[in-house]
Amino acid sequence: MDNLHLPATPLTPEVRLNPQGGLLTMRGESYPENVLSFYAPILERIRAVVDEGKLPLLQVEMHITYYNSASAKAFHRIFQLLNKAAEGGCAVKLLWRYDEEDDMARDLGKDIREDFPSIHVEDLPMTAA
Amino acid sequence: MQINQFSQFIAHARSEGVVFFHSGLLDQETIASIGAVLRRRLQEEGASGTQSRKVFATFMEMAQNVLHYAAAGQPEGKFGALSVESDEQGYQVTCGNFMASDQVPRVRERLESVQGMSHELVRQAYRRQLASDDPDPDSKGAGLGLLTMAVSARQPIEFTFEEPAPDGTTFLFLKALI
Repeated sequence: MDNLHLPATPLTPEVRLNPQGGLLTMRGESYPENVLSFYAPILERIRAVVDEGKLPLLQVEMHITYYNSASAKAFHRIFQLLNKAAEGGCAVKLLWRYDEEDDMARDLGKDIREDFPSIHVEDLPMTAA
Repeated sequence: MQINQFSQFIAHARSEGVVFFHSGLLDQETIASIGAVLRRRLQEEGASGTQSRKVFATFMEMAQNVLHYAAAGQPEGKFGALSVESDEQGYQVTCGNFMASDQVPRVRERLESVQGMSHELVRQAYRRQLASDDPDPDSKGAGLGLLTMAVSARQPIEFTFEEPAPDGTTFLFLKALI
């Protein structure tokens, strides 16, 4: 399956999906005008990779410096898919990076850990540069 | 406005702690630009990183609400007034916009229900909404926007509806203390 790369914009994160390498990365800010139309194709690609069921491991790295509420909902959908993959035998590791002053992102990381027990979450607060 | 009136206007805004004020039509591009200005203003003000994030997030959810709920029948665009003021304990973020009067009872009920929740209950409701696959069809933001504001705020979100106008719209104010 082909790689996916969307460069960052002021309102949307950089997204990289490399199925062969077992890597998914999302970095930047997330408050697109239409959250559904931005995330639907990404969710579709992740779903296709997960449904193939051939992935032994997937490392997901996220560092979203700001996300609006609709984006949080989209992330939840992504984690649902990843959890399903993990339940199907794929070792899913989530590197959850956030700025240490970002309480919302810290709490969201905790929620992911509780809601999706099959995903191995690494909590990685980042010190402001 | 005469120059001397403008001078009083500035002095009044300063004494009220106004950090940012916008009153006019909103679209996504405008929101992104004023969001960037607000971030810079908060930095100048010396807001802590945590506070600044919460103010920004609340502001963005309010602005998004204007786009979602601004009453139809405003052919010129979606009007919203947004303000950020500093006070002794932090910041106040206020938003005002027109909405369809027939939606007022539903929105009032939702606002009252969130107002009555403790911080812990707000967090739980936020998590439930996040996980829900079947959002309220009338709420384009899945109700998460209001809960996001309530999670960030140090006190329950205040709101006021003005008297309904003859054109079927009602002006709504929301205020969050951060």
